[in-house]
Amino acid sequence: MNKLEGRYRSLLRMLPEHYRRRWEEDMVSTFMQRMHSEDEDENAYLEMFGRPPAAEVIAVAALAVKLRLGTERRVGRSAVTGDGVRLAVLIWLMITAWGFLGVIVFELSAAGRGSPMGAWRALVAVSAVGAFVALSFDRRSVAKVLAVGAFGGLYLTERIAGFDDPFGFPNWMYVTGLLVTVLMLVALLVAFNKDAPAIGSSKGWLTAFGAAAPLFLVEALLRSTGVLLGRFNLFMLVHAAIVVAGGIMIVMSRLPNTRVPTYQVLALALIAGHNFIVEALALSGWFFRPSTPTTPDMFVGGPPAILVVQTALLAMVFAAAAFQAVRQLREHPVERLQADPV
Amino acid sequence: MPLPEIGIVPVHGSRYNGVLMTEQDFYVLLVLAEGPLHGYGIARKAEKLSEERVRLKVGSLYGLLDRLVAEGLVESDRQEIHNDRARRYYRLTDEGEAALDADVQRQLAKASVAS
Repeated sequence: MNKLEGRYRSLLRMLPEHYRRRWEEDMVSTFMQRMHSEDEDENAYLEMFGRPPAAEVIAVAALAVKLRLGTERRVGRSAVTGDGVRLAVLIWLMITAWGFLGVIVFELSAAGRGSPMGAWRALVAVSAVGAFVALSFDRRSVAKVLAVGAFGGLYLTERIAGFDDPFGFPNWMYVTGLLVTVLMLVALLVAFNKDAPAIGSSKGWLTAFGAAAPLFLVEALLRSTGVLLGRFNLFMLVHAAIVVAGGIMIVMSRLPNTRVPTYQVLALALIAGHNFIVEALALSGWFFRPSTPTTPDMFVGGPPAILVVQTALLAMVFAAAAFQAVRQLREHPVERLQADPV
Repeated sequence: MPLPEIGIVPVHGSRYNGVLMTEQDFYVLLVLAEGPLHGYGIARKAEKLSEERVRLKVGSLYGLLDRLVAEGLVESDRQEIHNDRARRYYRLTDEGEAALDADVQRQLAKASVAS
């Protein structure tokens, strides 16, 4: 085996083992033929120093994602995993869109109109809401552009506006928060590729979004006029819903002949895990709080009990759902390819 | 009792039931309609027939072949040794031929509406 072949075989390790057993030799043979040149000197050089071209690397990486998320073939454990990730991304985007409704209201209110970046932030928020609406209509390319634009725009807004650690929190808190968002965006980009199954019920998703949207709008209005202050916010209801869903899952798993479908359990684990990290970061803000005049209200006066309870409950739901998801996923067969008839 | 499905609809059965196939699928099936061929040959011929609109990377080609084999449209034909390497040939199945014919008819029907 020459070095080029070795490098290509290393690249193929991205693919699931069962897939490699069936296709690796064939792929290597085709790849080496593709790279073959009529010039013997060039061949010798390529075999020693050549590397798989970037386009081939991307193609193998894309195939690996499709196979692991079950979009290439709609069977087995990978298909269930893919459905779970897609459901989690949809829910995350819906919750995010609710939050951005508040940004739109604030930027349009008297309190927000003075801000030099207000119009830009409002545009970013509209993009985020648009991303959810587009995805619920299965316009996945539009949704991806809007979502990346919204979160990229949000990041740029903070950079341009000179967002420079106003509270003096440790840098790892901001990096972790950014990383969690980037991971969800990456999940959106890869799990909703063109071969992924269609989103069946646009009406259902929009109804769910519309049912809670007025509450978030009213909350934002009350906050922007100073009527509502303090630690209460509607995301606590979202967390409560996650905890209730976790409770239902546990009860159903204990009853005979009944349980929540695996992809929904996996989605619950992912959403609970995401929200747990976000809340744990907020809680870390209290523990690492700096003593400066800019310290936010919520970090003054003692550990916020509601935040501690929320974080603990989300951690429990995450642990229970992740355990149950792994258990149920093991019951789904890993796709076994038929023996090669040749 | 399981919770109702809430939006993600799994696709069952062949994607070719009444749906136009992708350009890549079409050209791979078209190439194999002319006779059994190995992976490298399929990629080269698909490029040529499509006037280089379809350029199949190895990863894309085998993702596609894997799916076509799973859906029963393509099957392994034989294996040959070429430059000390095993080279597998693929051929179109009867279902593959029918799917290709159906797609050609659909494209012709669309073209006649447009003209």
